[in-house]
Amino acid sequence: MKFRNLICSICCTIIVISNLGCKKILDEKSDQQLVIPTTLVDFQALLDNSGFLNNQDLISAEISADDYYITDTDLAALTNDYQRRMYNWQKDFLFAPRSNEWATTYRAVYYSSTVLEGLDESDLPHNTQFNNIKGQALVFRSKCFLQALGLWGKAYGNANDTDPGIPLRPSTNFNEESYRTTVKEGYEKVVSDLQAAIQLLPDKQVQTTRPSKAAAYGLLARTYLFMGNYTQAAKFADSCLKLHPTLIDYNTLSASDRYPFTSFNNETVFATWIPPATIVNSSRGKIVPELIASYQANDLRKGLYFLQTGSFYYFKGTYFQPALFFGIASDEMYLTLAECQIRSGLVDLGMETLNKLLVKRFKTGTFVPLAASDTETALKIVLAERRKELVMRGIRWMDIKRLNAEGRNIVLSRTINGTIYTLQPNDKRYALPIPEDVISLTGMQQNDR
Amino acid sequence: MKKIYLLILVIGMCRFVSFGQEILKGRLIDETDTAKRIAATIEILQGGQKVLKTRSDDQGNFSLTLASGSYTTNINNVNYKTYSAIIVIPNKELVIFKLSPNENRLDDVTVSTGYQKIDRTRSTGSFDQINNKSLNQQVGKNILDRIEAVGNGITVDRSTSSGPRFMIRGLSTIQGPKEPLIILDDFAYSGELSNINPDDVESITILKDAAAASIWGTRAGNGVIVITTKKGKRNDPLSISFNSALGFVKKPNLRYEQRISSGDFIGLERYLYQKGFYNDQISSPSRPMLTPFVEALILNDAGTLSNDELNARAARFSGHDVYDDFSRYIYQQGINQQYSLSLSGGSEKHNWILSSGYNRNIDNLNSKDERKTLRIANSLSLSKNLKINSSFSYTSGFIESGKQGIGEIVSYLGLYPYAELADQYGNPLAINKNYRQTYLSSPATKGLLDWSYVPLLDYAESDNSKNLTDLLANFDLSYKLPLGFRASLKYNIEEQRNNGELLQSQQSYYTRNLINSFTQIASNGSISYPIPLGAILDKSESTLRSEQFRPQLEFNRIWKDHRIDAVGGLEWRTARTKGYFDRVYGLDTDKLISGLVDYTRTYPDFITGSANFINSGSGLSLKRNNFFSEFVNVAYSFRDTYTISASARADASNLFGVETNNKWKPLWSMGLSWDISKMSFLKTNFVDQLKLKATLGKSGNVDPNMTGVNTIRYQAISTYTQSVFASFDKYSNPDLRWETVRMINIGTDFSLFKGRLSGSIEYYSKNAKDLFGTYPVDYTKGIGNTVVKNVAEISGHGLDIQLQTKNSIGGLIWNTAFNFSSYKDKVLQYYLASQQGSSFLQPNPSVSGIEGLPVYSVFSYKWAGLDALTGDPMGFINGLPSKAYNLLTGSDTKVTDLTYHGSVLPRYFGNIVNSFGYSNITLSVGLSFKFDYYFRRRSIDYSSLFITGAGHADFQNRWKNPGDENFTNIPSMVYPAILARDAFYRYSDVLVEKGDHVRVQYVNLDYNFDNSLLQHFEIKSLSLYTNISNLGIIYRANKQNLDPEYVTSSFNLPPRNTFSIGVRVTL
Repeated sequence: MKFRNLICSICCTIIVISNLGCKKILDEKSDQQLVIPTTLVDFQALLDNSGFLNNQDLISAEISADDYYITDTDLAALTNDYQRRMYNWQKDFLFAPRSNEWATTYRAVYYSSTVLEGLDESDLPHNTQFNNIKGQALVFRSKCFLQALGLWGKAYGNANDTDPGIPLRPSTNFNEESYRTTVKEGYEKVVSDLQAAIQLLPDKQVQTTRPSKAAAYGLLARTYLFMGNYTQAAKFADSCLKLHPTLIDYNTLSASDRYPFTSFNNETVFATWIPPATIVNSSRGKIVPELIASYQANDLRKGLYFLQTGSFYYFKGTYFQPALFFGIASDEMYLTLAECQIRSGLVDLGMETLNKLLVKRFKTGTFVPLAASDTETALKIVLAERRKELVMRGIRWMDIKRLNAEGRNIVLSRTINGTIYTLQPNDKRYALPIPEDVISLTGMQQNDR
Repeated sequence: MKKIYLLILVIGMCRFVSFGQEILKGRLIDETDTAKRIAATIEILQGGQKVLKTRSDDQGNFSLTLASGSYTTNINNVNYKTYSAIIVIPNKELVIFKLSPNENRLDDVTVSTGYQKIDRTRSTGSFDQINNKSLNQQVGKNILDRIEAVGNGITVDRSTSSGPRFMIRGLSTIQGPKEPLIILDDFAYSGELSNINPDDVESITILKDAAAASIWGTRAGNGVIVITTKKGKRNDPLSISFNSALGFVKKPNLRYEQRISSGDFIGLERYLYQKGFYNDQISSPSRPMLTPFVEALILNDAGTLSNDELNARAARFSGHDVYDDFSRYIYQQGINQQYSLSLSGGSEKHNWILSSGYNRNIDNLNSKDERKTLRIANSLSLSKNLKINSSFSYTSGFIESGKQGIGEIVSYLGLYPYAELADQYGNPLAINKNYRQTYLSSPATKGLLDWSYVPLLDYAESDNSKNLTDLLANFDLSYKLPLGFRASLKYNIEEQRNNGELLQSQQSYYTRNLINSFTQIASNGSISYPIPLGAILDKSESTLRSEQFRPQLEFNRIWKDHRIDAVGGLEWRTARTKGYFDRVYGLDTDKLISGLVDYTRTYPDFITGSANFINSGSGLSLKRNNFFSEFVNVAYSFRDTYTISASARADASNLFGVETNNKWKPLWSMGLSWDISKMSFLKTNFVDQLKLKATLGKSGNVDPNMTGVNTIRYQAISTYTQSVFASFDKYSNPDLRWETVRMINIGTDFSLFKGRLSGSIEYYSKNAKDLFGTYPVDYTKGIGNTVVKNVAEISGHGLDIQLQTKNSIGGLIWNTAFNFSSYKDKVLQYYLASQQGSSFLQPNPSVSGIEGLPVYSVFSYKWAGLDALTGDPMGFINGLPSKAYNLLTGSDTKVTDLTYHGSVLPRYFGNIVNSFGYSNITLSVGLSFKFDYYFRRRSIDYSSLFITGAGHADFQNRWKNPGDENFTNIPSMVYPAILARDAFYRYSDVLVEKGDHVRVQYVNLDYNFDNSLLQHFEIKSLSLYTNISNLGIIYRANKQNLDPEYVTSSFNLPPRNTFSIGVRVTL
């Protein structure tokens, strides 16, 4: 009996010890670098992952646009068949399966949405830092949605009530299926999120990789411009410029540098970028002669933006070397503001805004301020300057779409082995096909091409 | 009858009481090998009546309490001749009975599960035990490498590019950790397997069924291999043994790579040059490297190189193959040296073993690998009941890198086949590396360090070494309690430290290239080096420390016909791996002074001008792997004939982001066995042993990615914001369930004709629910393009047959060990919707989506031949030949449209070892075979050929002209290359081959010197042996002369044969 008691008490002791000991070792972290995101530090750390959030702009917008061309030999030499198909706006298979821009866009959306949901579900006090992080997440997600709408949706216009847009992924739950909302809903979402962000963000951040209030204003101005809402676009471009009016005097730069502009330069409001795809990179993508010819003699941009090899010009004027800068900079805001002022009839004011920018682009002492007597002339001037200034900034494709929507009749054409391929204004191919594997996995509606 | 026995026993006992009892102590030993102790049944008879039945322990010891008098003793063990003797009580001395072995005996009577030793005759589970004798027929540093040739139910799967993996009775899952759980003596072993000296290994037991493995819980998902080390024996005089072997490894056969010939490649470059393929590289401001022939074409175009000279170069390059240079200047014969010495002995209370080993291998690339091992094991009986076992082992390893081989010497993305590593006199030459030669020799690079790359010299400038130290200690304190209980505390601690050092001198290409890329030349010509001149040193250290602690209570008791063996306990296990790595720039190796570097700013690249940060090359990591387990295992035997066993175990681990309740997984098993040979109706002459057994058990696998919440991983400091940034590590996957496997095993163990024929036949079936698989997911969800899901329910069944025959014909002894396994599985139910064909055509096989087919099946695109006009490959869409490659490889081909070939894993496999002994000579030949499976061979891929210059020799036999389609299936070359066209051909059915093959694993020749001769020198045994391993394939089903186990990726060459000679002495 005594022995049985002994055994029992040993067992009991062991069980008690084991429960204490096991709790402790089972609660130890399996990897010290792992964390369940709950604190503001964690959320900021996710948003500071610039490789996934800033460095994933949609290069396809530039591949599809008309600032460059490549030779037949170079086109044939491309090892990427998808870019070759995209070059002359083919009907389908423009994106590689699985790893493509759709994937990187929605990865960034997921990061932002996780932060937003995490903040909402937390008991953290709604202090300045909380608001700041929430605002950043809203801007990042809006940037993704805006670029995606520009690529996979038709231009925003009156008929957009039913035009299919992009999935807005209202939650991060991956068991929820993806479905396309309309273009209109997409733009509305971007507008409302950016307006919310403006209320939350500080004027400036430690670095322009983090979106500031100025960035939210700038992105909202860009959004309204694409929507054709020029009053609102002017308002927010102006708000952005109030916070960030700086322009670089191009006379201070050296055209002989391989990359004349430094990253995070003084015009940068919000730094986002993407490495150039092989088709548009600085040894293949030749700038179209008409654009080169449009620069006047003393315009410093021609030397700073382009690398001349023989009679060919290649782009080197990125604000985020060696990648292409698609973010928000003050020069774009001057152009947006000028255009919108002109469109609302304030021609002189608009030209004045434009001249403020251009004087920094010309050799000192050579700039003659531009003037226009009527709205249309002024508009033509500002649109021409817009194209000359914002080369390879991921804006041209969306500009073409909105300008064609108002009847400016921009026809794109490519010549390949003697065959001319054209893209007529408002062609349905302005909305690129969603990657075919996404369609087959989700049953989403494909764009009619 | 039973009552009568009892009565006699009672009467007998009364007599003891009346006459006084005497204790007799004795021991059973092997007549031929006195160190060997025997556990056997001892029957005591007096006047023809049985008075007592007992059993000696593992050490052969027994003690009897008998009244004075004379008794007959009968001792029985299957492996020995029945022994009878008369004993007279009282007898104060230790009685030693020497049993003489049966001519043909079963080798091992107990098997170790790591928790306990089970008598084979009473075990219900499925074990495969490989003894030291059959392991020793192979030579080599790593013990596990020897299992494939002799194990049962084991295959090594080499069908994925992620390296070989052991499979015990097929795969239950393709996710999670690959390695089976290795148990070294009592505990799970977390160090590197190469730390174990094969000469220290007594035996290896493979636990094959659920009942055997369930005692190890969730970690047993990939099977369990128990390694038992040698121990000293009690009352054994000092014994010294020495073993040494010297092996020679042949140079690898580089031709196996089947690369595009230099001549074909020159032709290709000429073609691509004319097409303007290189224009972009020629004009690129980043000056990417061009091959010598393309440079010649450029010069020829510019008019500075005559056509004659161009053709002369073409001819010279065409006649040169870089693989000849590799063979001549780089690869060499490898040499393996192996020595081990062990001393062992024991007294009544103490037995011990001390062993040491030294290995030194120099491989085909002159890389040196050294290992020293030292091991001490003690067993000490402190009192009658208290026993301490302890062991310490120490391993020190050193690896020094050698030359660079194929796949390591690269020019830019690949290596052009006509690269010249040396001139005709053997003087090393530079080859074109990252940048164009014309640029490097231009004035633009004035002031920089020399930027050339000389492969034959470069390896000497980098010194890559790894040091490993491993310390392992085991303590086992056990106390014998009354009533058959035994309490023990087992503790194990291991610390393994890996130190790596990579020193790349300033003369190494790596260092020069990095310094040059960062060099800044100011407008006044002054040069600054952001990366300081000097060597670059990378240091890394990782320390693994694991502790395991196990209190355990055993209960072994025999009453009359009943016997209970039980063990239960708790186990804690913690393993912590700490690591760090760091880099030093500008190191002066003489004075040990390092340079200063600014990591916070960017510098423009010397060539491209893009802004780059200097890589700090440092980081830290800390990982923990903790387990807590509870287990119990009970076996009950009746008359040593019927046994029922049951086991249960629950494990919990520190899975991050999982609630404690979900961390627990209980597993169980049950078993039965019936030793028919103990039945009176089977007392025939030819049956030595016959046992039936059956088990049923449930095991489970957890995916380490299972988590209930999203987790993120902190990465590093962002160079932009100077703050830490993070990325997602795992995504909440609440729908993921445990993978559970139910396994039934039915089998028989037998020994017939006095052991001439013995073995086992086992049938098993398993049913796995919720098998894990990666599943393509809509990446709009933002979590990547695949997730781990429970994808299917599968069933599998197989047969493991193990036969040993022992024959003697005249003086010739012929023994055969034959292992044959069949394994078939199929998908019972596929849970997922995805049916797109390309999801099932991946480099690593995914779970088949079609019910009824093998779990991992080889599929391919249906082949409609080559287009007679263009040589384009064609497939079928809606039954019609098609060249719409994007559709063929996209959503228009469903899995049901694919050709199904068969299983990825062999359905029949095994090995056969034949040993022939005649007088002092034994010759053993080991073969292994795998049948009924398929693999995909490689062929030409034009996209990668154009980009990397790496192409398959099939290029030569491609379709070139109409009519060629009648004798070739290799598509024509098109420019530009089309990715989807290449992908279609890569996964088309013309590239699928049958994997069936038979290979010779080893041949071993052993010469044993006569005992009579050795006695003069006080030598117990002496043998000389020679061994040839990896003799290659003797039968293969494929006509391409491919080794089906070495086809997955480039530079995956079959091992060449190794010839070894050795000596084994015991004093």
